[in-house]
Amino acid sequence: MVIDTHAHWYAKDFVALLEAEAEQNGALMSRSRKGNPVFALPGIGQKSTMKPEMIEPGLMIDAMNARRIDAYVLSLTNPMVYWAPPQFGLELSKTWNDASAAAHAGHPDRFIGTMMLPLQDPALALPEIERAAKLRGMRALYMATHVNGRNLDDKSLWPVYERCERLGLPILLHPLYPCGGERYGAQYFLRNLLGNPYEVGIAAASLVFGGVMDAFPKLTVMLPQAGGTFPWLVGRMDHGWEVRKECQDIEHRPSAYLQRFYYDTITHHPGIMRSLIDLVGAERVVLGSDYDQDMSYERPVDFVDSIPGLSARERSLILEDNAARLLNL
Amino acid sequence: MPITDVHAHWFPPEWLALLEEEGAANGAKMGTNKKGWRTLTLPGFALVQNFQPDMIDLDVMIGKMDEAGIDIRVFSLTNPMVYWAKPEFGLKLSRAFNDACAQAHRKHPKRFLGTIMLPMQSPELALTELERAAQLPGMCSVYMAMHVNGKNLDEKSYWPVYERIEALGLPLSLHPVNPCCIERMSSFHMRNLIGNPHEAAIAAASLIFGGVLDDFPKLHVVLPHAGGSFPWLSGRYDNGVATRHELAHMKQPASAYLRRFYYDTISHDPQIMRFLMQKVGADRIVVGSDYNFDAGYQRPVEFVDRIPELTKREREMILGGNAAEVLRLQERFAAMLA
Repeated sequence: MVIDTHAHWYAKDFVALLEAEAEQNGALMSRSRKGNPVFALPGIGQKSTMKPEMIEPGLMIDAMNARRIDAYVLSLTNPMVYWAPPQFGLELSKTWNDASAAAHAGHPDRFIGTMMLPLQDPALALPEIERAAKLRGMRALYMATHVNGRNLDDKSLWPVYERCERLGLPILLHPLYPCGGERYGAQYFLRNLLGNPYEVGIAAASLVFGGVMDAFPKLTVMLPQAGGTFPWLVGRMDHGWEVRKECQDIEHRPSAYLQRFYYDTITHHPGIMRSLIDLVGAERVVLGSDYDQDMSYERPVDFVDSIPGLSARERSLILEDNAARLLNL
Repeated sequence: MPITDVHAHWFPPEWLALLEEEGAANGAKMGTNKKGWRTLTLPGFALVQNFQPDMIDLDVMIGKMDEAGIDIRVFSLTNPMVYWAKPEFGLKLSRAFNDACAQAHRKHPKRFLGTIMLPMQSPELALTELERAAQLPGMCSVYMAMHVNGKNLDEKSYWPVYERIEALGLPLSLHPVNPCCIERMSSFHMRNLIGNPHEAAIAAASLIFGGVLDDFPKLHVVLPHAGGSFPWLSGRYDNGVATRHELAHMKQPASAYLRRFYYDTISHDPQIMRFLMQKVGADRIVVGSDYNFDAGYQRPVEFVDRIPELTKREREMILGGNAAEVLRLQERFAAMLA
């Protein structure tokens, strides 16, 4: 079964709840020229357009078939739920989680669910993780690379990590409203091209240096955008660990944690993908397409097949086996 | 070919003296740390810069070069450079640094080269100083931060400066200063470990997408920290060019510009260095040490020797041949090669 671990879905009920109540909770809703719902936050340039291809399960199955994908791991993307007042964040999370489970129930072979939590208030997040973990087809916690500017080593998140580890839920990360906007401007799409991978680098470094990976040795984390900048800067991080006392409060050198993460295939470069496989091992790479954005792969399987020197074993690990292991299928 | 370290920092005594005399009037706060070294604090800069003696005294520096097996060191300023100052004082600081570099070269003509610091907060003053400093002995490159007080390098007012750099046949050497997103970088030395390489990704993208490398086809750019995040994100940049209206003006994919850059060896991982060589070519790699910060190499030559399957030819190119090429040593500094 070919599994795409990075596919975005705006569940219909989630969109309906935004349309009904987002404005009274501080967001702005409008419609695009094509009539699609558009979500925005005051003061943030990045908008979320919710097009039918990312809402309708039937269209997503068509896309999967065209892309030679058997199953999508469904996840939210911007705006997620942390922007909202906590109670509304919980309501959005519950709505998404229930929809995710229902999508799986409707098409058990095609959709795998992930869980959204209102991490802006961990006290609300903890009961929801217990509830949602019991929903059918729920295989991972989905989480942004920061929670309203707090990095992932923030102690308020540790009870969540503890539950994830105990429940055997891997964490799938994703960038959200990347920092550095004042330098990216609107000109060259830098917010996405380099802001997103930067976020992933910050998130991975925070989990490693912040002791999360040590404290929760069975916790598994998937990094989108092929790990962003993290794997390529690991030499710098190792050196930091050797010479800087603020980097030494962990059990191993940072590169020893490379294999604690999974990495999707979204590098947009077969040669760089080959280097990543050589660096982290083919056992840690999973197919991702970033469905359905400009930065997604239209042909994610063809991309994998374009990786130089790909063996049959590596191919099957990346397309199928690693994701099955990551998600405890 | 002499072994050449293109990434080494120096705080000339004359430059420090000027800072001591006139820095305070420009918002700088001088202090002394526990080790007795002078320090510089600036509003808005997360990093307090220490001025350690082994980055000031030339004789000490020659001793360190001999120990590390380095023949030539190319001097540059580092954080906080000169853009924070009022333009006139920025010019003064630039002149003091440039003159000191020339003096160091005169005194040790086989060991030191200098890079030209410019007060980029005023491109007009920068142009004047560029013309003057380019005539000084031993100046082999123009040094620039990866942003100028928050402005990226595709700022149109810098075009006349790039034009003159190209006409003078000098490479442009970049360096991070005061990286962005500091609010997320306060723990675990992330400002340096992740923030500095991110600056290189922004700078390279600005030069490529902003048309600087198209408009100045002979301009070569030297990136520190092995190009930072830039080379590894080039696939994303290419996909952006292929799909996004913001990049519809691009005539080539971003990766077509990879070889317009040189990359120093400061990746701290021999395997990743090998990947980089596969990607950009061994003829684009130059030795850097980041002398004399803890982020750098005490033994930059030994690091090169740890690169997997390094051939004799690659070793020669990386240690000296490529630097000689980009700095035009044969043409401009033949005496150093004799």
